Amino acid sequence: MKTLKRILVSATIISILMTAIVGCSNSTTSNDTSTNSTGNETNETDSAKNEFPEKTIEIIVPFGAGGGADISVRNLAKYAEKELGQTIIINNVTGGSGTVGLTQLSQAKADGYKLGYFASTNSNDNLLFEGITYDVDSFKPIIIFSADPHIIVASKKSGITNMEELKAKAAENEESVSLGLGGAWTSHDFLRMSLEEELDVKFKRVVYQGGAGAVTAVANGDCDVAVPFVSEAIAQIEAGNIVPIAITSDERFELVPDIPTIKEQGFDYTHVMWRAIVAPAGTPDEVVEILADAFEAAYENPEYQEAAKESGVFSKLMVGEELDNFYLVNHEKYRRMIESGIE
Amino acid sequence: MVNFKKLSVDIIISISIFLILIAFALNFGGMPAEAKGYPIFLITCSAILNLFYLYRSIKNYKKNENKTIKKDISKFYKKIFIYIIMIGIYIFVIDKIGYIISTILFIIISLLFLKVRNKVVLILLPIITTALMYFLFTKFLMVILPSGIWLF
Amino acid sequence: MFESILLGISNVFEPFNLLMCIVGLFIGVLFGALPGFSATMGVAVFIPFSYVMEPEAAMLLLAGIYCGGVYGGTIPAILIGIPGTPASAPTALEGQAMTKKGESGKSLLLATIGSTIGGVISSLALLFGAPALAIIAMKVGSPEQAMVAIFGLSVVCMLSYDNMLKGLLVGFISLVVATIGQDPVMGYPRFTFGMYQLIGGIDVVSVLIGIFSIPQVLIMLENLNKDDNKVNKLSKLKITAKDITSNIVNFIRSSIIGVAIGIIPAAGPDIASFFSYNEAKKASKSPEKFGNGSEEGIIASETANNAVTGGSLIPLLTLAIPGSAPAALFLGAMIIHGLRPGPLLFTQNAKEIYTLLVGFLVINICMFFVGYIYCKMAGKILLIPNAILCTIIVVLATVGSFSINQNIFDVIVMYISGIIGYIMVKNDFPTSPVALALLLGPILEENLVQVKTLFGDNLLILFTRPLFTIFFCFTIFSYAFPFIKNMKRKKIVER
Repeated sequence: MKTLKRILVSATIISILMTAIVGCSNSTTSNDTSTNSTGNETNETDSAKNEFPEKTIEIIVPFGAGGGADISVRNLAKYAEKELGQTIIINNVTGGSGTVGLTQLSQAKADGYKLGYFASTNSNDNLLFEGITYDVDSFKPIIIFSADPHIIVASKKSGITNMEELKAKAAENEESVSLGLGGAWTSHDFLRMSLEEELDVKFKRVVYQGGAGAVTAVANGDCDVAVPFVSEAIAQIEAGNIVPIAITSDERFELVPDIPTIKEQGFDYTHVMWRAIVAPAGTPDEVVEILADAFEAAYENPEYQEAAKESGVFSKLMVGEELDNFYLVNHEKYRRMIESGIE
Repeated sequence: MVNFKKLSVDIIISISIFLILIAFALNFGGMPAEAKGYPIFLITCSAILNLFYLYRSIKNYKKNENKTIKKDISKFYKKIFIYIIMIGIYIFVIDKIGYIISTILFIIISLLFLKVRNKVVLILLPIITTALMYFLFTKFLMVILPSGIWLF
Repeated sequence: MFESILLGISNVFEPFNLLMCIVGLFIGVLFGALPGFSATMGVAVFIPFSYVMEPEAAMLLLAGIYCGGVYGGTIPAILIGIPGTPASAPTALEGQAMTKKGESGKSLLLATIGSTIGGVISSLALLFGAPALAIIAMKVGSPEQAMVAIFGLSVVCMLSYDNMLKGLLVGFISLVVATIGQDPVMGYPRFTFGMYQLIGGIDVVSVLIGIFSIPQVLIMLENLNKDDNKVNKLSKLKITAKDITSNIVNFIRSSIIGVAIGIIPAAGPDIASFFSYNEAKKASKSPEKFGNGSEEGIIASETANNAVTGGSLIPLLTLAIPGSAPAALFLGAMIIHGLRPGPLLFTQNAKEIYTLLVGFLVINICMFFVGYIYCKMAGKILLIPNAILCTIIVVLATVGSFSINQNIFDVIVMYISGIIGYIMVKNDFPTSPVALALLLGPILEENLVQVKTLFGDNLLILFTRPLFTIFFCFTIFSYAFPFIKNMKRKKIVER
């Protein structure tokens, strides 16, 4: 017991010292002892102390650290911190396919200090799942910072090299072309639904867990076609194992400049998954404006643009009234697709 | 008493399993066909296995009905039961009164319950442990430990 | 390639990088050793920490945490019967018995050696074999993964063959529990009972933390007054040369199993350790020892789980497909540091990648020493009175399960699993099938559906795939094995 006592006493001294250090470097709330996304702990505040923001801002990312959503937010937050003069911490609240984090956000205080990551389909989560307490009106969009396109890729085995061939082969019979998705009700799935409508065909729907799985299946020939995001597909495209057919954005993407858009190939079709930062509904307008301006400035920063591009994120900006309108229009669009998909 | 209780425990477990399987099966209502197949197969297999288990338990129970061994187990399991409740309360109050206070309280109560009388340990351990956990998580790992609705 | 390796070597031995390897190992083993914490968590929480560092240093730190974390789980597994991470669950089955026999030191040392060997072999595979193995990785499609999952479930049969009915019952019910949440095809939330937290399913790690830690805590509570039987000292950390040579086959076989499982996406150290343990039991000349203190079991389990680390990086670096949960986090970390996995990675970022590859080897070699140090220190755990140990474990389990999703719900899951686990242990229900079923269940269903959709019309075509046929044969044999053995045993008993 004697050694135990000694250990305990020294450990207590150490822990008291540590708590003292932590306590001293605390500012207002107990959550402030976290480091920001770049590991710094600067707290330069504006000269006008009464202006928002006065303390650390938290962004809830409802998906895991290191994933596509997480990376995209961390990039932006890094530059937004400088604009806002406060640290931004990223809080990965995972679980429930993203619903846990969003539920937390919808119930948070609408003072602008808690924000969240949001994507195309989330406003309709209550249609897909039971027990969801939030809906389209629970959130106030602040900025859309990315509109990620998908790349339509085909296996070498399938012999498809462009949109025309894809349409022809798919039209032969129902389900003659297998299409791999990254998950049910994901942006991949919605792309499939709207593409089927556009080309008037029906694909054989094969569901994988994540775009990477679908891409591998195309690479080894098991699946004919897949519609991954750029970041999911790029490794295999560079390796030459899959054939890129088209990209679903309006214009070509700098990271993969040789891939033509669907539009270029004669079909008036685009499909992107947009990524946004939102706040709980009821956040005061002035606060929303300050946040939107800061994020917009961060977005315009050429360093951010470069970092985003390198990680496969297709940058696109939307703020203000245009965004508010788009948010509702998009909600309706997906609501209709889900309802027709469910029946 | 032990054998007697043990065998009837087998039967209780078997019946509980059936109840759980039924609770699951009730959910098949709205499920689309593609999502149903696999779980139906699994639940059916579980039910069949459970049937064997029930059959075997009843058979054993009947065989050993006369064997009874006296042992005062009620006190024995009482301790376990109380400890389980203690842990449950700890978890329940974590987000009500905050991580720090709940953990300190839990450690103290647990040590006392488990008959630790050493004053040094009783005071230092809760403080060190909780401080370490708090420091580690909020400073390094950026996990935000619950800070309690009632207090903060 | 040779020049790149030399470049890597010179880079790794730069003081800061080397420091990161060692620091990573120390952190990793600690995370692995604390019940409730895991290698995945260790990597996850240090990723943001690593953003300020140069890519090579960051990668080495994370690699050290990964390898150390997978190893660390051994220590409490052997000393107190609670696996520090799910990957050491089979070790826990054997470890506690060894400690009671007074052979804790020997077991720890063997486990450390095993982990080092497994890790080194997988690093070599990674360093020299990555391109070739990557081709194999690409050929692993839905049929192969489905077969691996089915094979894995046969391990359940084998592990519970003394208690088949209960083992199978636990297995099937766990498979049912694994179906909670969105189904892979339609995304329909199954069995959520109106709770949105269940839409993504029950978190496996929380269940495993609960089911492996809490019952042990409660059992320690039962025996609180019988402290006199408790082994208080770590036995000598010594082994003989014979201990190593007689187990050479085990070391090698387990390493191969580990690397193979690492290459298969989504199957990680937890699954590898069970598979390897099972194979060791099958190949052993004294299988009855398993469950009562078998060093072969410990070696198999620990060697395999560390051999996964290098293997899991192969598909990650070459195809951007993570081979295990911590590897998935590596993916994100690499992208943030500007390293994009893919075939061009090895040429475009040769310096960073080869630093990582060579560093991986260095890390696994150093792991032996770091492990040894920890083992010596860990002996003190046995000195701690059970009352304190119980309390601390509960606190760790609580905070560990909370930090997965930052959600109290997971803590509740952990708690309920713990109680159920205790009831199971007291009534002779094996707990290992729970781990296997929860880990393999989703893989099984997802791939079965894919196979049905893509190959449904003509299943026989699957046999033209070499990998599939190999796995298929393994599986059939694996299922038949316990029955054949059982029949042989019955024949002997009847005589």
